[in-house]
Amino acid sequence: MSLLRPFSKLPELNMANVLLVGNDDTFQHVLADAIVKQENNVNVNVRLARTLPLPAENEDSRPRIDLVVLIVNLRSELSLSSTETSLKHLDTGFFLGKVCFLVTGARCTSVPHERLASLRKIAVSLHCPLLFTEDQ
Amino acid sequence: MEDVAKELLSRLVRRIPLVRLRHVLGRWERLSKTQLLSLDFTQPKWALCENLLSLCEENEIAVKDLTEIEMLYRSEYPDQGVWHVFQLVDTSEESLSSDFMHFRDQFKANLKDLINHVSIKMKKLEDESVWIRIAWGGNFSRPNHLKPTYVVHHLQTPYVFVSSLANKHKPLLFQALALSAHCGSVKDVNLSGRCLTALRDLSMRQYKQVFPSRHQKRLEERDLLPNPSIENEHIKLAEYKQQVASEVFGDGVLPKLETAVYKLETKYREHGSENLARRDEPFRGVVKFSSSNLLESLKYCVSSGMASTPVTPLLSSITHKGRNYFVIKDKQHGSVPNTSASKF
Repeated sequence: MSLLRPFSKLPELNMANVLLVGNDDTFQHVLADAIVKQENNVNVNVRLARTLPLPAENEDSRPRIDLVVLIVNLRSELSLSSTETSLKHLDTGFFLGKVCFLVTGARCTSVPHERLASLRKIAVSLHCPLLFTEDQ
Repeated sequence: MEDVAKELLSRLVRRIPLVRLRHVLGRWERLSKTQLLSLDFTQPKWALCENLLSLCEENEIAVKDLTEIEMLYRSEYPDQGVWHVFQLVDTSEESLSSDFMHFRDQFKANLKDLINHVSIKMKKLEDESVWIRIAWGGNFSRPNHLKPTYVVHHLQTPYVFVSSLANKHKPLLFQALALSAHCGSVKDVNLSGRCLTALRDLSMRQYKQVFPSRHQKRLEERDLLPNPSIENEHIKLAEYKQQVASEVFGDGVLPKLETAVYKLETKYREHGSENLARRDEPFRGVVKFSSSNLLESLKYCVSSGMASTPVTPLLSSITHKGRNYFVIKDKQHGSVPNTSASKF
């Protein structure tokens, strides 16, 4: 299985790489723009992906990933299931503070409770922070 | 003035918004300049209607002239009501002529042969389209001007767009059209929508089409990733999806369709439950997609990955065949479903 490994490459000076994994293209772009514009002291590069495993042809040119943000849209079942499959392709080294969950659509009342409950369980079991956000 | 004329006039004033009404009355040319200026368009509609009525009585306006207002309004703002598209088939060499006079005389003569009481008004616009307004009557009843049928035909093309046609008048209209356009018959294209220009563009393939090419446009050129710090892992896949979406649905401004309806008459197929699958009669269902701009939303579905690529022929037939009503039946031998036309 092609795992994404956290420590297999050397870090770069004054540069951080964030990987955003999620289904929603427009939200990813908006978030990426916001992240890049926000940081002035450090150069932050953002990479966008829909799901893991990442395509093998980018393996050489890809820098070391410092943070993986898994974006889950509670309104779609597909988002949650693709996140669960993506988790399997992350090396265990990532779960020492290099993975974070970002949840959108939590304020929507028509969303079944079980989705958020199961996502919380996953986050707790992996010791990863769970952040809530809204796309406005 | 007759009751019918009064009724028609009050209906027109009620239905047409004030701004458009002013514009249309200006183009109507039956009222003199002073009369037109004397109309106060800031009044409530019933007062305006009474003023207009008195002006028309002064000028001795007949029903024939009033229908011209309606025709002007419908041709200037063609997005009222639902239009259905039909095609003239089996055309001979002399057909599809661009002679409006000839077509007009023939059509009027033919339709009047078929039905006694009918009122026809025909007009040719600058874009080579012929607008026909038909008020149908029965054998013993006068033409009903309150429910007219509108037909738009572009000379030299086989397409006819029809709005508000009752089923009982359909064969009469089609026969008259077939005779005057010198063609074998009129076929239902199974395409309908509210926006006439969109239907015309879709039928005659006048939207911006994209053809498959080896050299795919890079995403950077499309200005989707202007920031060099942001990189997409799946850039090749995203480009491919964009390209496929553009090939199937076109580029730029797409024709505005509202619905796509798929009527299923296939056998029920499911691995689990055996009871339903064993039945012989087909399982009937209707799938309807509706949106304010259907082609745009389908194109977005494909380019963002919600719909799988390669695009299923069920969706690509909308643009490739120019229709939005499909009946899907099982093939006789084998289990591959196929699309087939059906009488609408």
